[in-house]
Amino acid sequence: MSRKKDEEDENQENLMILRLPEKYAQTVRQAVSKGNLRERLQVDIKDDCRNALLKIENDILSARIVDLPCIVECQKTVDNKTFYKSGDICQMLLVNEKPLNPEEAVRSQQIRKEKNEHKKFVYSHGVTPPFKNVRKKRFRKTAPKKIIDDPEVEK
Amino acid sequence: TSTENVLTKYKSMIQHSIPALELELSWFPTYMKPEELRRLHRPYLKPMRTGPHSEPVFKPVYSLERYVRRKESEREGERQKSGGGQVFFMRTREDISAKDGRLVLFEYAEEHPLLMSCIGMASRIKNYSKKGLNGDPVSCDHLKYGDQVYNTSPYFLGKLHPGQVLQVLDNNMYQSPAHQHTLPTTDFILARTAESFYIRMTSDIFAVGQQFPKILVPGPNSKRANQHTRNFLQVFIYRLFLESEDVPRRIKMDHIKAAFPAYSESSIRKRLKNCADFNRTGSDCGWWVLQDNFRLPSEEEIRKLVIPEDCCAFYSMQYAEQRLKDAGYGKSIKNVSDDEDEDDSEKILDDEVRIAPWTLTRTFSNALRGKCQLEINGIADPTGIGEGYSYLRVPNKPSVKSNKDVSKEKPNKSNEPKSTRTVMGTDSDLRRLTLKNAREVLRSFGVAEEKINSMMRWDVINMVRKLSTDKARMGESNETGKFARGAKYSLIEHQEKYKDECQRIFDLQTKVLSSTEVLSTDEEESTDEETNID
Repeated sequence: MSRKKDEEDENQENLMILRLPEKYAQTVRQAVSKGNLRERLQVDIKDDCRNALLKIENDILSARIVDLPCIVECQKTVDNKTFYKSGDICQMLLVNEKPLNPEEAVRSQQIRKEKNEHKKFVYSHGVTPPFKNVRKKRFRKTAPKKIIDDPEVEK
Repeated sequence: TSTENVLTKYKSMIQHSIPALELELSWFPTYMKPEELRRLHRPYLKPMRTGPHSEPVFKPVYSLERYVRRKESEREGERQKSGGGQVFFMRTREDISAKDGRLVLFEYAEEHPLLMSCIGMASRIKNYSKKGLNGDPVSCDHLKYGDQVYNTSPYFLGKLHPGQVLQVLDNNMYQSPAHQHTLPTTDFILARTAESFYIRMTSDIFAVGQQFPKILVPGPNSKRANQHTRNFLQVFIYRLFLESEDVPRRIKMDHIKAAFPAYSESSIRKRLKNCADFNRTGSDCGWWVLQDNFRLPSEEEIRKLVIPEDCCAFYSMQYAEQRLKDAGYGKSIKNVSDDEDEDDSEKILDDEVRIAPWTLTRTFSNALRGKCQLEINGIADPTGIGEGYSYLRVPNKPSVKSNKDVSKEKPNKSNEPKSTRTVMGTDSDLRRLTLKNAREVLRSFGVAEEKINSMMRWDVINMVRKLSTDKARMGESNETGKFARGAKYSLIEHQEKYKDECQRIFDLQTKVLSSTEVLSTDEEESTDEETNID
């Protein structure tokens, strides 16, 4: 209780969804269930926490971290009846289809800040089929106040 | 007092993890900055300044399959040892981690759900079914998750159809319909801990529908909200004392101030004074020392003072307040009534403020107790496209207002007479209709002369109204249409209509959220594909 909050944050598991291209997904899935993943999957998340590189066996793939529209709760169960919330998931590591060639891979080791436009990282779709395009189709829009009446508006 | 907030009738039989009951600081923050509030339940990945994640190199991702199996057999061993019954396993922070156990995802339909659990809190899945038309019970055995519930219906606005099975996510704060889907095989759960990455697999994800709240979200600065902050502070102080290893137990003001920066030192002192003394000299100089004669409540007792649900309700209020401030409604929030029982609906508030969670949860609970009806179709529908309910209040009795709303919502379907315009002072005002003219109208309807003459003025007028209304309802509009009065159809009819409308939305939501059909891609998707290629 008396421990510092920032320390706690660092100790917290950060959960996200990892979406791999079909063919890599199969490789990883098999390795995980066989328990021989070892060094086959490696990740490097860039400092901006938006861009990332993945190494799957010998291929290097670029990826970005996108924001999911819906809150996804990750819950755990040991009896299939009671569920305990492990964390919230609101981001997805979206991995690109084509592997990079070696030169590109070297180049993308450097952080590309200029590409970090907000819009690119807003993902339109939820994870389950009913939430396809949910941002546009299903979320009620907040009506902005026409005349801002509050002097203390936080920017 | 905290349990008062829970509609006890609908309380769920669940036990939260121990760290949740102890309001573990990192899951139940004592204070949140605006940017933290905006991201409540949407935690973004943050860069790490130290440790292995701060290095720009590839880091291995670990599979935890062996660990998961080991944990499972450890738990099984413990269960056997204790006699094979139910064992409560969620005792530490580590027990709550996604590193082991079976993982199931729940994706919420609402952008801003009214209430959300904090980490460590428990929920159940309940499986409801309704007997088939032939009277045979319907089994839920094919469902992987949940407990079958017999002889009750979910706490919803709609009913199950014969033979229907519905899964429900249930805890002490809300019930929501939950529809199981399959996570695509391309998707995994990736976790970053302070030291490394690990990967978990699951195929189970539920689409969670609109919440049916069981507890109230307190209004900003309401009595309930203020009481919560006071209790939360008190509980924090008690726990600090419990943790103190000195004799006598002692704590420092700075500790409390750091956790509750919004609180003034004098109000913290007020809380401290009833159990501790401040020492200005001696070895305890600068410390608050627990009084000799003060009996510090035990951890068990402290847990009852503030329950995790209280915090969630309070966070929901803070989150909504922040959102409203950001959208420019900061001042309007101040008009919200402080008194829980007072009704805001008559006040002129901006729509966005009217649909804040403190109003919606209160209205929902009132409607459940039969004090009012819900608007059903309207601005508080979180989907904005008529696939959810609007938990705003409308009176129980048929009213001009509710009719207006309905006819506005569905101008095509409605064949009710348009009766909402003001009639006062016009030629359609029944009160000003002379007896002579009224009789004339009846004659035009073909009512027998003897009957017309035998009736008193108000009977005549009533008949005018009734016949005009009937006629207008059949879709005939003519000169007498102006005497039609839609609001006069019976209370029962009105309630039937309300129930039907509730059921319609319920069925619609079930259909939409259980659909596994992948909707056709549109432009949005294709631009998305393009940006995939860097």
